[in-house]
Amino acid sequence: MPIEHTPNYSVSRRRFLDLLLGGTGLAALIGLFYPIFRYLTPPEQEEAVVSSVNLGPAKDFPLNSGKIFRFGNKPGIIIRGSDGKFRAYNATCTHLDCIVQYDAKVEGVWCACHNGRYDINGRNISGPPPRPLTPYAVKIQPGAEEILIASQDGAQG
Amino acid sequence: MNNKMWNWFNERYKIDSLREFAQKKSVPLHSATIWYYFGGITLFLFGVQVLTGIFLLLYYRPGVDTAFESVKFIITKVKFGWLIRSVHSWSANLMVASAIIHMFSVFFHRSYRKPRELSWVTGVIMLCLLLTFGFSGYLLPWNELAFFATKVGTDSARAVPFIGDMALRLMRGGADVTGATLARFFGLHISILPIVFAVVLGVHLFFVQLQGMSKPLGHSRDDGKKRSMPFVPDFFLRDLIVWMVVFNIVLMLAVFFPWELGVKADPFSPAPAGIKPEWYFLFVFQSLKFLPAHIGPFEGEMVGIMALGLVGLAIILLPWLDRAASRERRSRWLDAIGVFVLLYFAVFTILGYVLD
Amino acid sequence: MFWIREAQVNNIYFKTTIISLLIIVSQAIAVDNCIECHNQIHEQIISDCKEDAHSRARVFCAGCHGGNSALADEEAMNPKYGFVGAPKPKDIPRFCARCHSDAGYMRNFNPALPVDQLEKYWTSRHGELFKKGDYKVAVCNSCHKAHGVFPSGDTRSSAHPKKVPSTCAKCHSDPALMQTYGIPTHQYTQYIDSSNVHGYALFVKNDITAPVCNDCHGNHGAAPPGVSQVGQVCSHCHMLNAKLFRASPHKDGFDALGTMECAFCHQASPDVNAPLARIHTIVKPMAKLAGTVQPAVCVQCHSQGDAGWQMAGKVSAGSDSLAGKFAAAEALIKRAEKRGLEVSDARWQLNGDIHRAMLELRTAIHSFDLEAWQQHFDYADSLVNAVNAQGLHATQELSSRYKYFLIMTLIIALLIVLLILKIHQVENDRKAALTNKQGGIRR
Repeated sequence: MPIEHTPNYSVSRRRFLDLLLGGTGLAALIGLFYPIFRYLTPPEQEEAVVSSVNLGPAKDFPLNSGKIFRFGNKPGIIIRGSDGKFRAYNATCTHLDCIVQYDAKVEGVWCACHNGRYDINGRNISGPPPRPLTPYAVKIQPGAEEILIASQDGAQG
Repeated sequence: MNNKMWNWFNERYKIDSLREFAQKKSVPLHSATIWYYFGGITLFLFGVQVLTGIFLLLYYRPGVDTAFESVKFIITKVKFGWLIRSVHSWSANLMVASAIIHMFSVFFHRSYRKPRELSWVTGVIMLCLLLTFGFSGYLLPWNELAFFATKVGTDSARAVPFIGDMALRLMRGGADVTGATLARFFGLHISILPIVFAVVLGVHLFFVQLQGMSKPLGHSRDDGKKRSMPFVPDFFLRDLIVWMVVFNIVLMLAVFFPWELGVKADPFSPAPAGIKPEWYFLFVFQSLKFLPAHIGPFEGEMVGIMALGLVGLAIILLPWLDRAASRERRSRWLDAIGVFVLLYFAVFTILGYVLD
Repeated sequence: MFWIREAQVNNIYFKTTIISLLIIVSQAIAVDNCIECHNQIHEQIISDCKEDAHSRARVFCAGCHGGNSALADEEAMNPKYGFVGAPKPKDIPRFCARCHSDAGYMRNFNPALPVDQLEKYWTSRHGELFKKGDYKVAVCNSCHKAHGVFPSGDTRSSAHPKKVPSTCAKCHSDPALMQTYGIPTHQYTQYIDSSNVHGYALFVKNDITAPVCNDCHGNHGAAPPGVSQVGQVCSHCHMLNAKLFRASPHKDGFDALGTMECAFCHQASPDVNAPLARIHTIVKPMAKLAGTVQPAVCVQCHSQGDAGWQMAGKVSAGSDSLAGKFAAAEALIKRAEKRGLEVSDARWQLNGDIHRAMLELRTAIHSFDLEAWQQHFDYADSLVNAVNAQGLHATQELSSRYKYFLIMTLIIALLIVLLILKIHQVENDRKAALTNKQGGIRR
């Protein structure tokens, strides 16, 4: 009987198929490991939780002035009183969530929305605000004299 | 070079015998061969879980103040973090699904019959471990939905007579779902369960290798005309193809339907409407809801939990309960029960989604 | 007894203790004598007074009604002990003022308490009529009650912010009584209308700083504010808006028309033919308040073609387009957030800067100066555009995800095809080998 079933695949075809298979397998592996490699590369912001923020050198803040800064997802306000001391608060007004500002004339915090006022210690003194502003801890880095803001309980914002 | 290395190892570890074993291993061919793939799919997805789980651990931080934030960090700030997290979540669900399919196929083919009773028992244990994996992993992102689902889920332990309250406190690490629960679930999810699961899985696979694959009822007698396919490479290559397809499905789900994070859990807020457990617990959840508050002298929920426990016991003991199968006979009423269980699972799961 | 002997050793302390005890006891007895007889007929009054401001200042029955509470019979109410009984309405203002306008006396209780209530009262509409001999008007106890007087910060007080509207309404919602003075009676119903922002803030949101009757009309000097004073009244809280308005061309125009500044536009359904009709329902300001079609208020006075009409049209079109853009940008960001894309900067802008810019834009309308408004508009618009750009950028990131998926799918598909070919090859090889073996041909 003649040979009916000679191998359909010649040696070269078989090698070609193996090569192609190997190549594609390698491509799949690269496609798999690329995201893994990117994942392992440390992201720009290295930690999940923002518990402090650096506002730069203390000398950039003039006496009797205030500035809004971003703390996590919330606005903060840093105030340098005429006594030179730094104080920082969550800048969200406790009345209706407007953002407060520093009023240098009366040396206090003021909310333009409904004329609410807080003193320099964040206490609500007139107008609608029902509660004092939430304070943040201010630390001045020794040496560099840079301002660090941290929330009192260590959590974000 | 290759040969040299092979010989070096072979001299020391007798891998020749392994090769021989692999070459001898064959897969029976019949109309139901397709069901053999589901064990492999489950195994593959377990591998995906281990890998993505380890990667998630690099950035995840358990704790009431950090868990949600760190998962959010993973999916927004870490490159491809969204992919790893979504793949982990989706693959977990597919793994439970494929394990359940695997189990039903084994059931309907009576593959648990003598001599594979212990393969069945280890399989059932693994399913329980899988469900615990799912339940504990669900809480880890500390989002609202998971928080309340865990609250409801652990609360049903209270219905277990005598040990209920203790079991509840043991699970929650206290009277309520708190950071202590999160710490417990985290330890369970990343350390205890993987170790136990790996051991049971090893035993399960060892049994399968030792005894070969089961054939459907009636096939094992006519040894003369048996048809089969070598495991290596024929079946293994097919396995690879199926895995590729499954992997692609997982990728697609992760890319187009990224697993949502929701809002952070607030233990002091009232439970939002529509709190539901994961889909594989939904039928239990729904059944307990339908039970009256009291059945005879007992609490309805207690009766439900006890019934569930009895069903679980029956499932584990199934190889010994089913006498017909060990005589290569198919019991009609067991088939009926199987179909009923399947229908019950399907109907109550759907009801769980449709009803509020 | 042992303790007395012990106390005698410290004789001085013993004496002081006994004396102070006697004082306390005698005071307690003094109160008891009024209550002793009146506890049946005046049970309610006695329980009302139990914890009120006067009791806490140790001013008991006799403190107002006179008499000698140390005596235990009718003699206690002899006028020679200063007994006055219940004062008549026509005597009340001066009666309360005996103490409350005496700064020296009030200092004993609370030095920070004002003592000018009577003086203010004479300037009030109530006081003016009272002086003319109309004793139906409100006097001290009409608002503060006679018994159970509490400081206005105490929720039990009838002068507590949450009680003030109903306290005033006792008379001002009484048509029969108000008819004599020709005063409408709809203020209370208008105020408690849920569309009134201030009433809503007070009753629903429990914001007791929300203005009630006396915050606009005054309390002891209560009088309707003059038409041109309304802006002044509102400016206590809404100072920026009021400041801009008072510098705007509308100020004089409104005065001339006799419409009440802020209150005219901000009341529910303003109507220039009845400018005071619903001024006690101040509705939440909305974009459609400015514009050239009803319910925009501008059309009440401005007609097609004039400068005001044109500005109204521009403001309305601008607000509409900005609101649309804002909603679109927010939807983009929301979608991106849901997909876990990094858009926290955009979110910060939306909630912070843009929120503020839009607030300022709304305020800027009150200058009724198109150029000033345009400046604010352009700023807000540029912020929204920037956020929109960030949203679009995030969408591009999304498409890069799809690209990754596509590439992986192609590779996997190719791999699957090749694997199928490989299976074919393996099976064919085996079949061939088998046939060759059966054919007895060795290779």
